Amino acid sequence: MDYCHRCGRRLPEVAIYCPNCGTERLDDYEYYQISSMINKSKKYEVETHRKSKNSFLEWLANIGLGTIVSKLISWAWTAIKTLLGFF
Amino acid sequence: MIQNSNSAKALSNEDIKKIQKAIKDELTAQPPTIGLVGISGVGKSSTINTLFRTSLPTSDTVACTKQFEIKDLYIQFTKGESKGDKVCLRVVDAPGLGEDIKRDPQYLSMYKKNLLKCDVILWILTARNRAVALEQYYLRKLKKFHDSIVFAINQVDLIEPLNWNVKINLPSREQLHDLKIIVKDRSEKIASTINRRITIIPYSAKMKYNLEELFKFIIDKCPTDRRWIFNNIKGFHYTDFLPKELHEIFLEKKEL
Repeated sequence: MDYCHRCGRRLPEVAIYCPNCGTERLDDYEYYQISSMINKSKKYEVETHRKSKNSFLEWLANIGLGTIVSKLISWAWTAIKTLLGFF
Repeated sequence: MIQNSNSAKALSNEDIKKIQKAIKDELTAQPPTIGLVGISGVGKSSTINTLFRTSLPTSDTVACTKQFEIKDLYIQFTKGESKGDKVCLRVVDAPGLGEDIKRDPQYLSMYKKNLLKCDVILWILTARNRAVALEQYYLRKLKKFHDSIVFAINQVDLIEPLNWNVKINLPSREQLHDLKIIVKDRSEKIASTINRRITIIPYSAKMKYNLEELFKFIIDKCPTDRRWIFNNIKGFHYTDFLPKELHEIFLEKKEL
């Protein structure tokens, strides 16, 4: 990377630290590695949240709180219909 | 989940109380239970400490877990309807396999008895050790648990040439290259023992590397109606472990 990630200053070719803010230089590969980890983490977060939600509804259904589940489903259906109404 | 304010509006207070009571009853009757298996020194206790912010004792020199122990750790729900409430996480913490040959048969019968109660079993290998014969031996003996096991390789920071990239807290290029080979090799060996394809998750409890992926696999292996409990006690996020300087740089960007 030719520029500091933190302050944007152009870095001299041999500089390890940014002369302006002192941040250690990241090369393209390192930058890519962190970005991928963050993206992967977001993806997993969304995925586990979805599974957790479904799991909770399944659990409610199993313990016999069917009424509550049906209320939730009807709420979700109303929300979908409302959203579709916008398009 | 129900914590969504809009959905909460669709429920009466009575319904919410009913759910809260049901959650409490469920967690008391059957607390979330995780089993830990692996040879001595692979970092079973430190893995639990990292995933759930607990404080099981660990040691670099001698085996800490001498007895087959069932530990109830009280931790907080980090999200969901009961956020902030204390919940019991039951950890079936087994002494390391192969620690003492005289005790192994005794341990094995305890494994069989106690692993039955687990929602998920975390089978931990170490990246430092090439030999998997011990794991293969025990896997054959614990056949009926194969479907609830998540396989993971800990200590990937100790892969040669030991040049972990501390600046970004991730494996170096050389380590990543070797890691792929290690994961492939161990997966093939374990798969040949249990006669099905498996995924092994590489991670480092010490450096907090790849814990999100490990957690995702734990959730996947849980019984479907119990996944929400584990998700709600997850005690970390990847960005928590970014070096402070990078934290500032990367979290300022909303979209990557």
